Amino acid sequence: MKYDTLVIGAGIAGLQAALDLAEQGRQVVLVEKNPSIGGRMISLSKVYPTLDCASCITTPRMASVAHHPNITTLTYTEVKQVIAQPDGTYHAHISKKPRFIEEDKCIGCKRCEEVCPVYIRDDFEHNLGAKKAISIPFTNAIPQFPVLTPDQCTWCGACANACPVDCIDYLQEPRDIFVEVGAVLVATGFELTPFNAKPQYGGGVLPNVITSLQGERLLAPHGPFGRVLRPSDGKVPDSIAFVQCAGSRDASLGVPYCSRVCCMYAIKQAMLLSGSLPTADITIYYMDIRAFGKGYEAFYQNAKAMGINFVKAKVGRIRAGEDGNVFLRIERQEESSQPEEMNHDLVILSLGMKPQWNPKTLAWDMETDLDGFVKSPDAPMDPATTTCAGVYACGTATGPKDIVDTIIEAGNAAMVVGNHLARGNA
Amino acid sequence: MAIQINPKLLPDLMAYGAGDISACFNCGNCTAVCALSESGASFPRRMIRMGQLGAKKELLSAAEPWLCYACGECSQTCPRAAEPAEYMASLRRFQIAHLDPTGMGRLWFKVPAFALLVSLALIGVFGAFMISVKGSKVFPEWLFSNIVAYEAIHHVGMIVGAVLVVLLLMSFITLVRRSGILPLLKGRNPLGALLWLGKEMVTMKRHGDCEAKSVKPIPKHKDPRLIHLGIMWGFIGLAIATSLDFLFIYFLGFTVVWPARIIGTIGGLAMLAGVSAAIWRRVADPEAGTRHTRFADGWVLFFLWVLAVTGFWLEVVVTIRVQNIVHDWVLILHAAMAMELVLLFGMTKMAHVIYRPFMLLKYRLEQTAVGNG
Repeated sequence: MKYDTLVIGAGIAGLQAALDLAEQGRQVVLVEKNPSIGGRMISLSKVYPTLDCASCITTPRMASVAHHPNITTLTYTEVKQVIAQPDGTYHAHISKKPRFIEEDKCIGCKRCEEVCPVYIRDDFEHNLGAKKAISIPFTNAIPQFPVLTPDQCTWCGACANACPVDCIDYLQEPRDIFVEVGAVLVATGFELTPFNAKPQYGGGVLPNVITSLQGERLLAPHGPFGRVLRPSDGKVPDSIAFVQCAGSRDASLGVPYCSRVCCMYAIKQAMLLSGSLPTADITIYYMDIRAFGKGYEAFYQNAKAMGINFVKAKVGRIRAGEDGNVFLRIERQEESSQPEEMNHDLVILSLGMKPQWNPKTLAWDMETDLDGFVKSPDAPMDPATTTCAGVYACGTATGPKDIVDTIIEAGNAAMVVGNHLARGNA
Repeated sequence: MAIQINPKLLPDLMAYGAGDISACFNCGNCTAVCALSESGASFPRRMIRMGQLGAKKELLSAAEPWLCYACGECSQTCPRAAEPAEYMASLRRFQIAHLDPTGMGRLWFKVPAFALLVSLALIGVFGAFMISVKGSKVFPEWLFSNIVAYEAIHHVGMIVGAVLVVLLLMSFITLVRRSGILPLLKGRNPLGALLWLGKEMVTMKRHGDCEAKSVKPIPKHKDPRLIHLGIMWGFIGLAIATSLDFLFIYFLGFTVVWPARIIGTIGGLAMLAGVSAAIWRRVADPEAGTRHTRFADGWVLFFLWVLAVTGFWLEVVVTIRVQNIVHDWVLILHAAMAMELVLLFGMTKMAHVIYRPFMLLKYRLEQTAVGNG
């Protein structure tokens, strides 16, 4: 199969770039390792600084991509190897993971999900909720195919019996796909810095200390609980704290860089929390507030005016208090300089960004920066170019950035890839 | 009171072993993570800020450096790798050096070559002097008369001890004036604070608190509090034994196995174990707390170790009563090193024996002052 471009990753960067390339008449193959396209953005609550609903603005993009005649979307698929050809093109080996259903037959009726007796942790809800061992990943997933999780499935056969089109295939194997492309665009995105990297914060140990992406799910319109509750006992939290720089700007964690989004998403979540819990006390413990984008400073000032507490202090230690409460130990720096313990019902760690994927795993001569993100040697003037000819990158694969910047970079990358293809064809 | 700014202080403090403290951006993680930092005794960040400003006077009078037991958690979690624990250790060295009336203490910590040279030279001087003195055989049980006279060791020891007392007295007066402890004592009965201090010194509870909160459990053989208790009680045991020995010999003309010798042996063993563990901890596994151990600090441990080993050697020799020229040389080494250690006591890490309790007392007086509950 021949395509103009292979786009790796169908988050908002990959979606936007694929769409822009397709609109220019290029044939795009878009590869996504998860069962649905949409990436991190589809799981977010709202976006800053406009407070637009994230799924309301991501879903149309996802639909446009899924239905575009020039885009072939391969979900639940991973790129295994990319080999440069002498003529400057690439051959890619892609592996399609088994969903254990026949996709050409499935009508997405959810009968299998309804009858499945096994509940498993829902990774889309970051383990805050449960799903069935065979289920469609989330409400607005594209495509609407269920995925069977073989590790936890009991092979009881209930889904196969219930399926009206007889599409359950328990013996499905991974399938190899080989494509030839003129250029590759890496849009592999980020993952959160490890939750338990700093043992002093009790991440993964204290039930009411959660990650910022769990915070997003709590606030999402169709989140795990449908409202804001804390995980340990389902109590409506009265006092919520955000711990800034819990994973970034910390040499001791090996992440000395600023992740650029944590200040703003914490402010956004704080605003949304004060909307859903108007009487709750919300405190953001920060080292510096970095509100650098268009409209961001005003957003920050609004949050202050709304009564959200901003305390300049780096949290040193988090320990369990009574009844599931959480104590944060800080050093006050404004007015006095004394250590103090602060009591909260729920604590959200503002974790940073680290690269999701190391391109070296594909045996490319593609270099990464010291921080592990894809290196852009001509960064200021040409951020999409990598050290590998014909391979481009955009979004958080090249460094921490927010949605606004990611969209801009994806558009730029599509243009640069288009130019590359035009040069090759001339 | 106005603070005098001095940008040259920071490089000076770094010469005492601090890491790149200028990297600190004052986030306060160190103070927040510290198990011993509390209201009225907020450190290390405040100390770092003073260092960055160059507030020498405030740093020299601060009790905070002595409230820290170098668990190292602040250094392990510092977002800027500024190593606050090392900084606190360097402040202790800084205070010791600036309390030394001879002024040699500063070179002692900052210039390892100077420390090495002085240390070797003193062994030579003491050794040569003791060999050169001819003594009468007034003490017939003296085993080592081949080279060294009993009186030589005895008298030189007395002189060195007297010099130490004078130096320490001068340091102590400076310490009292600098620390500002006198106003704290005005109109108050210090008995409660002294009792607290006594209890703290015997058990080192604060040091234990410091480690109990550490997220990484410390194995017993590397537990700095146990190591310190071993060295400290070893020292006290030896001091008791030596005093008893002295009294028995002075009044009775002979010494006895129990209690003097037994206490001495147990004390010596405790000290040897503690010092060995302390050295091993620094060499084999340089954790955050000991990564920047100065030559001068290693020197103290080395001396204590050699003294403990040679002490045992001599103990055995005296007990089984064998005469050999080798034992005489061991005695010379032991005596010369012991005298040097005593002479240099005030400018080395050893001086903490006085400064830490003193500053703990000041801290206690401040914490219990009216209005502080």
